[in-house]
Amino acid sequence: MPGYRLPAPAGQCIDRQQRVGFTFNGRAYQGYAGDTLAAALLANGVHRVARSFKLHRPRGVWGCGLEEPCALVDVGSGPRRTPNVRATLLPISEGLSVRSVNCWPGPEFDVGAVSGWLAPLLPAGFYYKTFMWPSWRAFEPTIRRMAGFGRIGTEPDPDHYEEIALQPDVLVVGAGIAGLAAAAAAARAGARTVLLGASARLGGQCAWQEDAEAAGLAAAVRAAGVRILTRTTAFGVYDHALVCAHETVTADGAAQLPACVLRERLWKIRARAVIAATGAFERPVLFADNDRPGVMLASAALKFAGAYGVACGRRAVMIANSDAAYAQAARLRAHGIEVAALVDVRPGPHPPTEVPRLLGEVHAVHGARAVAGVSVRTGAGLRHLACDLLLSSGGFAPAVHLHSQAGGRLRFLEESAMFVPDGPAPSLVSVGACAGMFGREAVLAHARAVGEALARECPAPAAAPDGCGRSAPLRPVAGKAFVDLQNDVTSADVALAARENYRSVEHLKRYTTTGMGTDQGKTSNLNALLLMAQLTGQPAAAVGTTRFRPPFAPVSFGALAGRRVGALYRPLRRLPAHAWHESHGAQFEIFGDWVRPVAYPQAGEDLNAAAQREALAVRRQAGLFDGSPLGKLEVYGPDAAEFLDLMYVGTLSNLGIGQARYGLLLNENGTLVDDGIVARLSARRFWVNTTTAGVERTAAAFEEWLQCEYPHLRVLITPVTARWANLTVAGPRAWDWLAAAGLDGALAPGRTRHMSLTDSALDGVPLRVLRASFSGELGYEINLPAERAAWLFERVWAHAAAVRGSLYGIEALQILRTEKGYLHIGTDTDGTTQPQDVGFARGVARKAADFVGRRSLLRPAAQDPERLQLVGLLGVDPTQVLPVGAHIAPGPAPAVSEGHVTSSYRSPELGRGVALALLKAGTRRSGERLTAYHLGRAFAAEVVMPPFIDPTGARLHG
Amino acid sequence: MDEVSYVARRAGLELGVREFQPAASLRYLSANGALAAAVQAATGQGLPAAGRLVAAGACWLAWRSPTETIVVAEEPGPIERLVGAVGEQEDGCALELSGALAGISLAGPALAELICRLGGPAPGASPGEACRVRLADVAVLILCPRPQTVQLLIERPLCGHLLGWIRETVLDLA
Repeated sequence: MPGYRLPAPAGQCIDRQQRVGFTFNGRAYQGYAGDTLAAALLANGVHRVARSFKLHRPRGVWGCGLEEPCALVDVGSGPRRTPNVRATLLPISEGLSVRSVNCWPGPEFDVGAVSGWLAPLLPAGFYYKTFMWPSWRAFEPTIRRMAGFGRIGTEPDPDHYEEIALQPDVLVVGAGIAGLAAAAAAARAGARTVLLGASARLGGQCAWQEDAEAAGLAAAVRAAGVRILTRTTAFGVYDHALVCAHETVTADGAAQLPACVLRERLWKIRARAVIAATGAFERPVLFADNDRPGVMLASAALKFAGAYGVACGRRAVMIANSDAAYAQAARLRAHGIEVAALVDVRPGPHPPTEVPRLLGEVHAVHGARAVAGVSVRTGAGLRHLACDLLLSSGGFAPAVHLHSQAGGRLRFLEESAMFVPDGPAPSLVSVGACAGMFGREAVLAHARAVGEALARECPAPAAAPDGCGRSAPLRPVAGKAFVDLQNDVTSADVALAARENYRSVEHLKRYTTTGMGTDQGKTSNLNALLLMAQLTGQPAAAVGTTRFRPPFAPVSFGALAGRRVGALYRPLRRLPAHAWHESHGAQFEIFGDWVRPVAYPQAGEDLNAAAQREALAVRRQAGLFDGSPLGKLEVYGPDAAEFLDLMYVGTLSNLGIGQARYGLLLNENGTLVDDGIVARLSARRFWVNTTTAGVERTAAAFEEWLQCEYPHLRVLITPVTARWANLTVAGPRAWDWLAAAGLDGALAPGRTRHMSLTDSALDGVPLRVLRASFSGELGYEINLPAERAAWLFERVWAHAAAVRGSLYGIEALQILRTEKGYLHIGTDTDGTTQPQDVGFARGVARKAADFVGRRSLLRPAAQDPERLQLVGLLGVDPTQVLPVGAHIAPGPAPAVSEGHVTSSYRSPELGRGVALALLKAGTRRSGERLTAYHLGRAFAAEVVMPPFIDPTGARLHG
Repeated sequence: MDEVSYVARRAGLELGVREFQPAASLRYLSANGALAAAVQAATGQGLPAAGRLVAAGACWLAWRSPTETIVVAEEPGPIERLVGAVGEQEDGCALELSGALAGISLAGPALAELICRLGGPAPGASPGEACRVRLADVAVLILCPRPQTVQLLIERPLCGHLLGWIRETVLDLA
């Protein structure tokens, strides 16, 4: 093993008895079990691991955890390839194979480094100024290919993910000493407590130090019965304090996995109280060339030493802008790492130290490919220090992300230059470093008090932020000082944004892209806003922070999807007689959220041919259709009739028992939102049909009107779609067919009226028979209990031969209703269509009573004769079927559209194409010849008024 | 369905499915009005309080909302009789819902682990509770007649979807 390993007790997290082999960019290395990839690479002396996003500058490991902006790798291959994994979080495993991102052929030599020569042409916001001539489009494909980091796999993910819901009393996020203390106290006070820890070990920063107090707290948490979830990171706080967390079950890149493993879990936790103990991120000091491999955060170097037994360099120089640097330097020396000097950029006084101290600032970093030394400007002039490790210790930024997501406010501590929570957030209390508290005794006392108080549902004691000591203000730095390492944003870019007046923090972010990388600015946002404050002469608090949004850490789409893949992608509804249809040759498709027969193709037929045959069969003989998904509501109550009159265009209160009427539903803007047949079952009970897709929103709208506007009306709305199957028989021989199947003769066309509802029975099975038609033919919609659906289909189908009856599906139904000009809400209407646009002006005029949307129909826009109106179109070439969506225009694009084709089919009855369209002033243009354009083709058509067949509607009566 | 039952048993769960659950809906504007009185007269049991499940002869009455109680039974007969007895009242009515709901019964020590993986509360409804939740992204009414036993009432067309989720979940638990 190369000479960057430290002897025990350094390396608390590794097992030196177990060596692990892995490859990095095709080259084999070894580490120890427990190493992260970053630790193992550093131990092997690998200091260049990636190239930066824009300028392709060589980058090494910079942090030691989630805050790492540079060391991103692609892991695995094929369907298990995972891009942009942080090397600082990836555990090595035998056979692990990883590759650097954003470089070719590798980080040592990268062809893309030429973009570094173009740096003067690529400042912040360059894409708003350059690459404009002759057109941005000429450059876009190349720039898109260059943008982004790793590459995803292209094969389906073979693994699965699960989602678990928890409802504890107290949730503690963070397993450092503050979180441990709070969790133990909450559990001892009787609360069901859950603790989330991002690492595999408890203790946070103390987990790799020999810290007896931390070990004791970890034992106390276990003894108190806290449910502990390790390798679990809370990434978001959502409405009503829903905390979502992501657990790694099987690490990326693990070799020799079975065909399908459980990869990750998504935890959805809704606790009565949430305690955030999320710690703080170290803030870097800014100086020129602060991105050189070998420049790191001081806390990262300490963690590599303590946790993994890795010396990140042999001779270190520390750049300090906080008192914490002094303790860090002492601990590094205790690990056996030479600290040649501690350069403090602040004026005195300073803590005592045994490390040679210089007062000054970095003048230059030496070493072309990695740190080889540093020049420091002191009061006595330039001092050159040889080193291979340059550590940056600029103070700390509390991790206030979850607090802010929960709606908490922040305030700025000037001395320590940090934002801390300004009181608790709704349902979330911060403890420890994320609350701005850094003194151990005070932290533990406060955390325990908070845990106990929240367990007992008492107010939590306030935090007392003490900051982490003095921090000198940022000053503009000459040279390339990187503020955001991931997106190559320098202090000069921030200054450019200030000069160009992008001075608000949100503009600063978007103009420079600082904080917009996968690290979400954990170590850059604060410096950027402090620089902007300094440049614009504002206090930092006035600049403020950008809005914190989830996720706090990257979450895979697999975890978010959970079980929602394949057949479970979304809830789909099945017909009660699904198996019957399947056995009779149905071809299924998804309509809305129902799986329905689109057609029943026979041998040699494609979908089109089947639909044509089926539609013609309905016109000539009879067809059998499953209309079970049609929306059904029962509206009951003494005021049900009055209520329905308010809801519908058209009067329903004067329906007799057993009578039915077609109705339109509008929203308050007068726009058509649904339609359907309403029938009266009794004095107080109505049977309301809606569209299949509209039943839930219609029921919800009815409830909202009842509860918010008409609470005095005594009405109950009950969805009954699933209770009733619907078997529809339509066609001139529909009644012959049903009579053969045994239906009561009282239902014959001469004895029942069109638009009537009759209670009947067949073999003791209750039926509600509605004479209605969406095909234009004599039609019977037989509603029966869903569990008898297959029985009735089989019963009726057994008599099909006698009438040459045919099954028909959705496609044929669409042909039939288009031939009749029957409108389909959402297809033949858009968000502006009103009743008068689809031929229902007289219905509106006839109704004296008020109804939802009526007032909007009086607005000038509703009276505009140029409105889009539903018309029929016949192609001049009868063999052409006009494309749906084709725009009607005076000429080819660019032209102003006058409307578009909404429904279009070949009519088997007429032997030609027929279409419906929304057309400006359509009703006044009957007979006009016009042109519809679609994907570069032109279609000549004539405007007609539908229906295309049976204009008197005689066929409805058999 | 048989496969799901088999896999569930391996995970320590007994699973049963009633695709067309005998059921009814009692709708009412007041929990103390004419309809409530009719139910009392027909069953000897008043409407359940919010979130509660009560036995009423051969039926179970499950609170679903301030204006609705769901009635379930093993056989259609008790449902038909109750609907017939209650009928239409001034302030409410009884509606046959048989076939609209599917019932999935689950019992066993792994029940809480299953429910929380479907999205529901852990450890699931307590005995005597009727709880509205979303499991597998669909609305479910959980009835808990006994410890470690629940019945999930779901809109019947969505039963296959929920069973699919249960199957995938118990495979992980097994």
